[in-house]
Amino acid sequence: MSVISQRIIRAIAIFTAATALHAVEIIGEPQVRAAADSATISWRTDVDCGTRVHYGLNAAQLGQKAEGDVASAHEITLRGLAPGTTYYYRVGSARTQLAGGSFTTLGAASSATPAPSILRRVLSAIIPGEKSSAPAAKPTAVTTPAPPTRQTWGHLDSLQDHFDRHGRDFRAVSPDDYAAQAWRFLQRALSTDLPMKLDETDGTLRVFDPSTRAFAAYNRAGKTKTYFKPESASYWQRQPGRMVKASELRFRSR
Amino acid sequence: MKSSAYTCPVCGFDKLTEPPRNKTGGASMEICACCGFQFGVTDDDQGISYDDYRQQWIAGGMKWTSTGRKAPKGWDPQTQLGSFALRATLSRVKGRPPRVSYDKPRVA
Repeated sequence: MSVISQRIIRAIAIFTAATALHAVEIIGEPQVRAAADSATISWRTDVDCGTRVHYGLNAAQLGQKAEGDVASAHEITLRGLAPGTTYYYRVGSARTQLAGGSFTTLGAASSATPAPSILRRVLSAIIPGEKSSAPAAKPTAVTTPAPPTRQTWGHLDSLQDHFDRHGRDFRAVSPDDYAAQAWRFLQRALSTDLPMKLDETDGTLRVFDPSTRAFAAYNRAGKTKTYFKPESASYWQRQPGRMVKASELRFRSR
Repeated sequence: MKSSAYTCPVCGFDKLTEPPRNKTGGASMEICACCGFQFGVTDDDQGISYDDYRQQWIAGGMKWTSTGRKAPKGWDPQTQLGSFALRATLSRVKGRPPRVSYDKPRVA
């Protein structure tokens, strides 16, 4: 065996042993710079490892991927994205996935935020006032990652029909995106002064935003029944229920 | 877990998950998987009555509208609508249905 071959085998052995014994850890959280049709995601790891991003429109099915070089400072640009669209992603290497989150390309909305850590999610659940999202300079521009659709939509088997009918009102690109927007609308209503009506008969909460004319109805557990923009100017006035404030409701803003 | 179902007042589909209207008149916002009527939207927002929508649905061929839910096995819109019309008619009759009598032809 030649000297060169021995060196190659030795280098492979060292690399394999190093990666097998040391679990790669991410330092901090991924940073996203979103443009209209592209987004650059960067993150750091404690050791050199591969660069891979899985991304897509559905958080449960990240069907696209992009890869880069072996490094500890990773940066990768996703191209060919749709403007004003929310994408979900997970960063890592070919061996492991380290962190994930979502971002929205510029156009209709411009924001980027990584998913909160598990610890922060637990804290947000048990400590009132603890924010679930990472610190951001402009809170109004942050897109809070929504929980899985099964936790936010009332009757899952009806979601496709509601999306088919009303998804275009909000430029939703998928049923999950539509459900996530409906969930965010409720969070906004609970943390701001959007008018809300509670129908005590069945616990339905109806929310309306006069500026955008967005309307949504939620069941007593806070799961979405529908989300759309009514055509009728008097639609909100004709809705039953008494006006309520967020403090009177059983479910709270996350 | 057994779930109770409700009947669509437009097409007679009897698998709605909620009553179309609650006691105070609040709409369920549910979209009937069969005819596509959305309670609280098709009527309250677009101003289309049950009867008008039913006529449109029939004129359109009584097609199954949901893309997320499949029609029940053996689903027949004509049978569904006929059964619904019969039940609606019988519900209007209080007590025992009136007897229908025919005059016997006179024998010369």
